[in-house]
Amino acid sequence: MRRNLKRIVYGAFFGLILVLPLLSRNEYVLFVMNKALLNIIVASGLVFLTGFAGQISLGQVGFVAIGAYTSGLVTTRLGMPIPIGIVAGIALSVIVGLVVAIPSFKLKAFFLSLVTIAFGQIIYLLLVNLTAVTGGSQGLFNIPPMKLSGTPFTNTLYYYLFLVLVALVILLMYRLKYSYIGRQMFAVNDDDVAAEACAINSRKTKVFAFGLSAGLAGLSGALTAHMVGFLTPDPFTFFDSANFVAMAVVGGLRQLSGGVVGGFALTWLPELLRLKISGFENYYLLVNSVIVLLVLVFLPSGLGASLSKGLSRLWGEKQGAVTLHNSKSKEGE
Amino acid sequence: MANILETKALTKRFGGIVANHGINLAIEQGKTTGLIGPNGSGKTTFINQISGIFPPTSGSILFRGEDISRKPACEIASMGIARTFQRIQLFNHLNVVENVLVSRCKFMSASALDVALGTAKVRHEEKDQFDKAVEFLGIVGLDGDAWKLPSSLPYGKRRALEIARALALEPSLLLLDEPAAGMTKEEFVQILGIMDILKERKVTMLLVEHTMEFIRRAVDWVYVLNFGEVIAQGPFEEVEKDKAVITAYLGDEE
Amino acid sequence: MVLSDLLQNIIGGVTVGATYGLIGLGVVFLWQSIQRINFANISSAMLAAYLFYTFYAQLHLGFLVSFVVSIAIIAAYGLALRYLVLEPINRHGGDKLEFVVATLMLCIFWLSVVKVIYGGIAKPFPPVFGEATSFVQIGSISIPSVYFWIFFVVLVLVFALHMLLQRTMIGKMFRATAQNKEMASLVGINVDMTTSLAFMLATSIVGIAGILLAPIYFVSLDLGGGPIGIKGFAAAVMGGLVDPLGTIAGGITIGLVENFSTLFISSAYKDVISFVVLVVVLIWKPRGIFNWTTKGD
Repeated sequence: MRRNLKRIVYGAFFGLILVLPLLSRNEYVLFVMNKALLNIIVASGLVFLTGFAGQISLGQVGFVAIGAYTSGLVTTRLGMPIPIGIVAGIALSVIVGLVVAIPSFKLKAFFLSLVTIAFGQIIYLLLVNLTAVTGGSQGLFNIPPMKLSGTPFTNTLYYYLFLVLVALVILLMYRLKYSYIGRQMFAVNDDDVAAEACAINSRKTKVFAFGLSAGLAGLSGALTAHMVGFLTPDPFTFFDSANFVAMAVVGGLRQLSGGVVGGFALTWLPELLRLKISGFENYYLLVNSVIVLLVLVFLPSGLGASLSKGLSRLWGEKQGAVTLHNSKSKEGE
Repeated sequence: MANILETKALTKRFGGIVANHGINLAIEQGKTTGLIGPNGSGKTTFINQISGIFPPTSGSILFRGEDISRKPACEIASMGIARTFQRIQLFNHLNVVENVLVSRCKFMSASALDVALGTAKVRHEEKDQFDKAVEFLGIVGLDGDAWKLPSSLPYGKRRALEIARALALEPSLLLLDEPAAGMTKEEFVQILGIMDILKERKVTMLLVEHTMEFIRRAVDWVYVLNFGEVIAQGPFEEVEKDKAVITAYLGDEE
Repeated sequence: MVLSDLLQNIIGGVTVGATYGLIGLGVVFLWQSIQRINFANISSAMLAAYLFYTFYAQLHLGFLVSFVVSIAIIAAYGLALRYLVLEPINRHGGDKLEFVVATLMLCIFWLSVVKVIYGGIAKPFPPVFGEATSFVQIGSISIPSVYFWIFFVVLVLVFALHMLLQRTMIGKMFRATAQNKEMASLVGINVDMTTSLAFMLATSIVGIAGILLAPIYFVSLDLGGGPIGIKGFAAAVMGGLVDPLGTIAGGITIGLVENFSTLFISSAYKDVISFVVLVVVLIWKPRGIFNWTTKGD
């Protein structure tokens, strides 16, 4: 195993990430990166839910909205400090996630997808129509930004904050994946009847996955609310949910890096297209969907999987297991 | 010797079809009990009720004296009844040792929080369970294949893996649903070997089988089902001479 | 509340609901055939409506020609879906989820294409089925004449489909293949061709439904998007994903629920009500409410 090569590549990669704001003073670039990091959080939650536990969610944006609006309302109407708002946003997302998941656990894939679509749509319609609470189509304004000793966060500061959060999320997923909890998920994903025969409570497993992914989506929403300062129902439609699923699938459903790769790629792709093909706002959606389609058709395991395979080959590592560290294979072989 | 499992008047109806009717069956601890019968006689329905896949329409299932007829499958498995499936149902995205490790999840006491924090407790437990899983693979002769994917294994080894996975649950009762089905001659010998090891370890088993050779060598007591009812029971040598049994199997050569 | 209002709502709900049922049929056919859910099928409704609009209103090709050509193109679309999307995904190791997402992306793709070519504003449906504002009076009830045409076409179509499935060779092939592919091929049925036919039939039916719904929803992006799609799925689910008649019945139920919630509650929440109904059905009776085929799993 070419350990040194691996160290160099990873080192360079992380180094680049860390110094990015210094290299590119472009505020727009930083802003898009921040959006990407927040999307990575949601997409990673989806990878966990759909890729690991095998549960489809086509309404994930509903949880993002719950997190966002809750935090927005708590900090504006109730005047609470931002951390409380964020915690409230996450908590409510998790609770709603559990409420959706608990009765749905026995539904097979297609039916579950319908329930989640319905859920997402219901949330959207509530956002638009409960004007007294959510401000309707006008939305919520004057949501307080995060502040450091009195001054609002700059894009750079948000960048580092989000970077830390993404790192924590990935670390959490890493630990869960390479443990008995990860094994339970993958087992339920592959064959939930057989999993039950191995004393695994598939309901608890699915509900746990739903709750966790909902919480992550809520976290992302809450952070968005404070970074952007206002909220409207616009970014919480069905197609935005579909977009998050696309991120997870394009990134690689069974990969830890799936959320990262997919979130990054599908946040930047439309932006780059929008820049290159200026003036035709409609075109970029078109090209975006075509590119995603192509990836799906030719690389259904996702870009992250191909990346992972390529890298493993680069440093001569054998890929042995989904939930076990490769180092153990030396004993087994 | 005590009966580890008993069914009393076990009946299962699907719409208009009576798959199991009034079955009284007892499984003695430490022994291997066989369940045979022509196709469609209700053997798999019987096992499915015991393992909790669906509840009986009427009657009861007593496991160590406790009624488990309405309990869900994962609870029954947790209480100590493990099974294999007629069509091998392995976790295809997990490798061989991971498949076995799935059964070992039950023995993990570390909580989700432990896992999230990556505590020493979790690391120790994971290592212990990994070693245990390899042991179980050793019992069925798969320890050299630990890192392979199930899809790359020959049929006989996949069946062995399913048995290892069920064994890893450390069950008091092991239900085997047609383990010898579709085996080549060599695979048949291998699986008989596994049965011998299991019997040596005094694993209590309920064996549903079609292959009479297998039943003959493996079981201590056998029940014969036909059209959902028990038509005969006893040691195999007696049962195979029973008139009702022969009639039931007429045209159903093995 | 006046009886005539009630009756009008019922008639409206039944008619529109029956078309939702047609969309549901598209879902059911594909499900029976490939056990996958195809979101891109919904686009057939929108595409058919826009194609028809182009041929009839813009190119002035006459009703019959426009209709037939539109549906023919949509049928070809169905075939393309199979060979350009499903097969490659299967070949490269993708499974249900990848297919679902791919069809979702395709759905979005079509919405973008239509938006680019035709602009985002809805176009009025050409007065094929009588003037948009013409009514038929029955006693004190006035029903838009469009509804009659829609209902008539749906009736004919459902009847034709029923005959096709129950009485013809092709229909028997469909049903046999849906039940058990291996058996079917053993008996000599060309499973491959049957699958292709299923795809084409699925998109064609939805396409016709799209043209029928266009007078009410206008030739718009709505036809290819969420609200209609969901209702189609809901109809399919209520029929247990198995029973064509149940699917139509499910669609009619949804149409009625929609209309009555608009009448009694508010039109803003009409979609919410439909979704809530869908969720309740799914959780409570996932095998379908109107599953009239008595076959078990």
